[in-house]
Amino acid sequence: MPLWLSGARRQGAVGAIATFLALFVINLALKGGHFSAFDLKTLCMNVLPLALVALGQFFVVMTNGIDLSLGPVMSVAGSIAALTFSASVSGAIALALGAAALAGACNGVLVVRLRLPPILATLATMSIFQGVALVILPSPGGNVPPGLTDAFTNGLDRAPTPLLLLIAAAVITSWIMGAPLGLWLRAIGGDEGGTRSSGVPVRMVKFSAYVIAALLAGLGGLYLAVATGSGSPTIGDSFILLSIAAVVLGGVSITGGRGSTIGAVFGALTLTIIGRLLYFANLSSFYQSLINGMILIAVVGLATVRQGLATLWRARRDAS
Amino acid sequence: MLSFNAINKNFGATRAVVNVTLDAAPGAVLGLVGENGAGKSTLIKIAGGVVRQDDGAVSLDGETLTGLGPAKALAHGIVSVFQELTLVRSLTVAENLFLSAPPRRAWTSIDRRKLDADARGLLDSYNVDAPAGAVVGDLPLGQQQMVEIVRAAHRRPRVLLLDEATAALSAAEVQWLMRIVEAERNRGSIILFISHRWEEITAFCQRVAVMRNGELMTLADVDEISHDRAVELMTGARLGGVFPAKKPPAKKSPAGSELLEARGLTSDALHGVDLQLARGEILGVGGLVGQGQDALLKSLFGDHPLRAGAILAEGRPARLRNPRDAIARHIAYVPQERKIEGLLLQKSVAANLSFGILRQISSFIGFIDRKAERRIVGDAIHRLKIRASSESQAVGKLSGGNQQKVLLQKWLLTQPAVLLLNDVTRGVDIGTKTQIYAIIAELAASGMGVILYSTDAHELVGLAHRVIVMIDGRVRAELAGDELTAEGIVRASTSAEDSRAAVA
Repeated sequence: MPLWLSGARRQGAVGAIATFLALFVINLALKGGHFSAFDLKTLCMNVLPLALVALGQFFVVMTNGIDLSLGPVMSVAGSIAALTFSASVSGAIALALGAAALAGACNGVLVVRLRLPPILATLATMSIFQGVALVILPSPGGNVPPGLTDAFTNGLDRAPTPLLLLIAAAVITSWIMGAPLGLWLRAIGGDEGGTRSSGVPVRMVKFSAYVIAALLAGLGGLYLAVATGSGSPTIGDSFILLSIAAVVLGGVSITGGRGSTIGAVFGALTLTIIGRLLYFANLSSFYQSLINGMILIAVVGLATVRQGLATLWRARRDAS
Repeated sequence: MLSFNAINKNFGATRAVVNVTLDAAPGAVLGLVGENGAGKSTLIKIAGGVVRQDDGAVSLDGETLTGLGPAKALAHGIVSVFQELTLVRSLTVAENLFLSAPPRRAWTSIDRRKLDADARGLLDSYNVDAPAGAVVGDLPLGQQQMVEIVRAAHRRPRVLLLDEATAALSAAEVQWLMRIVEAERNRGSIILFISHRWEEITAFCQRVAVMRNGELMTLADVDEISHDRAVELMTGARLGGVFPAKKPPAKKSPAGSELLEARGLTSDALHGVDLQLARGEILGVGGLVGQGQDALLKSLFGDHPLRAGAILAEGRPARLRNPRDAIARHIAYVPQERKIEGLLLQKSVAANLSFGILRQISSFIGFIDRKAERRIVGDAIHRLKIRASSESQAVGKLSGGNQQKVLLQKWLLTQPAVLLLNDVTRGVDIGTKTQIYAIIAELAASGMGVILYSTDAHELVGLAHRVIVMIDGRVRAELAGDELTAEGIVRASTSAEDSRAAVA
């Protein structure tokens, strides 16, 4: 088995990849076996915001944390960008990402310095960032240069921009996980006390996780604003729980220590393709969240059963 | 030279280390011996920066170490190996060995190949055959402990602290550790070594310090002190008058109808345990910590899954699938960790006491008869001399000893026939202990059967009619009559024959 594949197996991404492929095949069948470049581009466009924020959530969940504020961080970043694009595109991007990084730093300080439980700290900042987005942009609006929207949805000079962005995000985050920082994130999720007594700068690592998460969410918010051509102060709210669902679907342990960026991306892909499946099956989109939940239980339940069997097998082996 | 200078440490009302002054020099491994709770581990954890002393100073080669935490201790070259592992179980052996400084390629990513190769080289150089790529949690406990020891030795420590590092090792692995310790000693490290096994102390150490109740009793060359003398110093003479007079248990019940009988109990932690308990008898369970005593008591309370074996109550087979089954057979259990297992800390004394008997004092549709509750609770508080300003005070606000009394009384209200006590006086002050002892003796005199597990050998001698000593999930010795002494229990717990050799 190639190294990356054995790594994916160990880190639980296989379930997500298999689920996605199964749903993809059903999707294909419903469409009569037809899959065009256009379909690929639409899929990438649809999945990109969720994939970005799920990758962000992944970094926090790896440390046995959770970040409820990532959805509103998307709203804040998107709103800032939509309001400032007309002045300067690069300035708008810098401002939006700067705000996201600041938001992540706030979460990091609350969790690492004040030692608030992550779920409490980010529940509070979730509400605060929702408020900030509404103050900045009370109703959907703002301005995005049409050329920008076009480049990032239809593609730039025939290059499929959304697909390239998705691949870039996966590669960069995988690279982070391959660096010492990634090893330490996994170590902290596995056993924070043991990691500290091994001489790892635990607080710095956890702080970085929250900043990286918010930056990725900020990128997701930026992309949403660019793709829809305007900002909305509530656009990120639906991603609060979806980002957690995507990560868990991707085989990432909710208590940290185990998981892969590839898993998180495929978790997001799975949730996205469910929506498209319903559309092609002529079912109301009202069924989406019902089916999301059932798939989540099925995938996580299967993983738990499999782990239980593995533990049992090990116990028997050790006993004999 | 590592020096402890007039170290004191209290945990609440418990004096863990009392005015200990002790030097450890390079070239001589210093063994620390003492009963459970004698203060050996606390002392070593102070040097390792895990526990901070109340007063006194630790110095290394004349430099006083202040504000010592785990990271700072490491920076001074003080490396600890504790019985509880500090490896991250979800990472591989290689990742754990180089966790704080993994080898890198350009662009800061980890060089996995070099990481695994370095780890393999390191493991080979210490003759450990654990695979570098294996996830630590999948390895047997002994190998995990060996990886931890390799990591500690690899740091080239100035001071190496080994706190029961041999507990999870087989006889051959102990030999392996001895070679490492010998090499470290020759390199000039200062080494402190804690073990409950005397033969390990004589094999590993040149000097030995005996501790009792937080105090340093003696410091001697290891060949100047016999096992007998060490045990004598470890146990010592205690205050008289603490224990109530023993009444003989009710006359022997006819065979096959004991109050409680266990045959061949087998589980993860137990390997074929038999016992009988008569009416009015106090059966002591002794041995070192973690030899299956906890599992034994819990299995008799239906709270520990058994693979094989039978439990008989008054001669009839009793299937105890969960604590409800046990309670229905009038078996009560008072746990060790009262905060975790037995009390609702934010609730009042009254609520806690009546919690176990809600059914008796409730009408059939479930309303609690508050008048009956008050009457029963008032009685109980009076009888136990629980110091609570009122019965409505939250249990969490009471002292540890009083909490333990509330827990004891909670179970007594259910009028059990068998009472299982899991090291209930640990961390309790001597005055409250005396009261608890009196209650236990009184209950046995009234015909209740009591199984008492204690880490304090004197408590077992003072209260029990009979004591079984456990090693590695087996009953290793049974002591009664004249043989029942603290020295006898400690000797049986740390006996020279290595029972683990058979397992390895």
